[in-house]
Amino acid sequence: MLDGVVAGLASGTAYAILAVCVVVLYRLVGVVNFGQAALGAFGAYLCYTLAGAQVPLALAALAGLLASGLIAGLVGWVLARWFATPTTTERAVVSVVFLIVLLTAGVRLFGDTPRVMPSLLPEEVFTIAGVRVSLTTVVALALAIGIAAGVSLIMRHTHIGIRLQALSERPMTVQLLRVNSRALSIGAWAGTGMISTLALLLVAPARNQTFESMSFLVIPALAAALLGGFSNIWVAAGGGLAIGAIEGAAARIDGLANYRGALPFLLIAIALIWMRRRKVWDDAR
Amino acid sequence: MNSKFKRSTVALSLAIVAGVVLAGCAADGSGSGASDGDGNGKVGPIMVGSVSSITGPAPFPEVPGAAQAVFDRVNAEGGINGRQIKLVSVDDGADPAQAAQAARRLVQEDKVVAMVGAASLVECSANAAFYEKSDIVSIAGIGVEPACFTAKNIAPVNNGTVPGYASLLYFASETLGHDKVCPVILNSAGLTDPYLEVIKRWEDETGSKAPHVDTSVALGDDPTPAILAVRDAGCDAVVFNANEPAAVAFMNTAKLQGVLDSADWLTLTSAYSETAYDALKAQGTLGMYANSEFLPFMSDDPALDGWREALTAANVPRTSLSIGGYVSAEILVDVLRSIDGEITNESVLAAFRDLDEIENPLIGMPFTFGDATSHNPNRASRMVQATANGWETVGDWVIVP
Repeated sequence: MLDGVVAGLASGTAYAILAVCVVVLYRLVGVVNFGQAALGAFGAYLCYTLAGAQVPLALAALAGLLASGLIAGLVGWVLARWFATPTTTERAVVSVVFLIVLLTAGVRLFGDTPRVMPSLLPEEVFTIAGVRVSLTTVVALALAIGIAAGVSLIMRHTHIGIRLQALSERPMTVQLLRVNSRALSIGAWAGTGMISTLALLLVAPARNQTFESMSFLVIPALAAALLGGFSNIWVAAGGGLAIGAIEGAAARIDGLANYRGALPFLLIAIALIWMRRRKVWDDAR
Repeated sequence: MNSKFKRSTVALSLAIVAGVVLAGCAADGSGSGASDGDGNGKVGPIMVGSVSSITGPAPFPEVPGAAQAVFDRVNAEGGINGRQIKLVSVDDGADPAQAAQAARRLVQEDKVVAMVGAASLVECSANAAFYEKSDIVSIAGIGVEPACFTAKNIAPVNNGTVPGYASLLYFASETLGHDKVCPVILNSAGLTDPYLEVIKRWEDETGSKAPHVDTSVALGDDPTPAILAVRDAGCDAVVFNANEPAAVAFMNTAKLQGVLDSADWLTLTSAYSETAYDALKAQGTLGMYANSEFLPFMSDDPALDGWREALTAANVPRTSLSIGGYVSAEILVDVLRSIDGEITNESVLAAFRDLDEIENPLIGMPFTFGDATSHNPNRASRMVQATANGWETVGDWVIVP
């Protein structure tokens, strides 16, 4: 079973990084980005398409990162320009539209034929608990933890972080204080977009997923973000890793294997009920 | 004002009635003109139809395209007893409603005498009952859904995934001579049981016993758990039901877990493509086997010359699936030639029911139809292996009993 846990961590790192991106974006601009993974997939697929056309891998990866940053930035600009104080419904609609546009464009552009997906890192392999783990997985894990730590520090201890948080809570007040809120929110979109692409560039070579299935990695990521209440970055990151580990472990247990896809969500539902128990009881009193 | 209103209403009604009558006459006129040319006559073109997914998530434009290429050649050589064959190919956009509508239009308005060269994600389940009711036979180029292989009037010329999977099991145990053949089934909704049935039948008939049957991973998921399980079971051949991208990912995981060289890896025909080969080669996982449901299209077998020439002339991409469209059209042409009297949907259906068998060099067993209530006439696969020289054909046809 331990080998299943270790094997599942490879997927878990992708869930974790995406979950952190979702939480950060929600805390800063108040949008639950359903297209977070599709955005990353778009950048990653652009990279592999360029690499397939003999562009050096480093350049192709850079182009992929920039493209996803640019697309995300554009969405941020549209939101800031036309939806200055969006309602929850407007935010959700923008997010859903974004996912649909990205999915349609991506499937149209990249199709579902397999691609050569070269690894950004050398193909080193370690053995942990009887499972061979690639260097890429280790780096992705470090990246997930690093991003969670970095973002927490920035949000809590820097001037820009405090401005960003203020932006999500009182956008009008922040604007009245002459903070360039538009630049800040565009920056938040672009930054999370680029990080999602980086995450998928790291995990894609091991999975060789189609654009569509990559885009739906957002579902476990959203579940992990939910576990963190869309506010706690560390819980979201840990939740992502845990979902991967549970999926991996369940695959190695007879009787559970067929339900492994649903298992993490069942556990999350239980966790959420448990976390809310005090509030419900307090309200009842 | 009231009477004025009434008068104008009457006038309008009269105008509408007149319009409808005139339009009806016009339609009648063109209808009687077209009746010389419809499939039910003795002169004019023989109308045939095809409902395929030409757009949508998994488009197959080359399959009806290849059927058209056959008819182009037959027409250029003088047609069927001087009559040209006219194929009306309709796109269903992978939408069952569109597929149903298209079939009704083809049968009722275009008066097609048979359907041929179809390859659709939805058409068989949408139209099987309609074809049976309308006495229309459909020789499908590629049967995609299970419903294509369980209908009374539909006979696809490809194997389908489950017989294709069975051929890989027989090849692994009988031709490659492996004792520990492990089936891995990548789950997708509702499709696991037919695989388990075919594994059982293979075990009964060959006396093999699979050390491990893996159903733990869904198609598109990380295949690592399945690979670890077959590693622990000490399998020396692994038969898995991947589509093209999943096959590439599966092989990459096998390599990562260091078990690539300890077993042979065999998967379904969709991995038999140039794009999959390039990806397999780039990640260093050559050696994988796949089944080809037709004579392998990348081989230089002279039996493929006619197919190659016809598709090149018609500017249709040459894929493995296109052979399905090509073979289905050739079979229909053979049957049409055998009909003495009038060519109607009933006479075509009767000719197929009376058919003994038709040999075609591009499929591994003779095509039959008969009175069966379901059809899977082609259960023969030729195996190909990804080697340093590209895809190479291995051994003879493997026929699933």
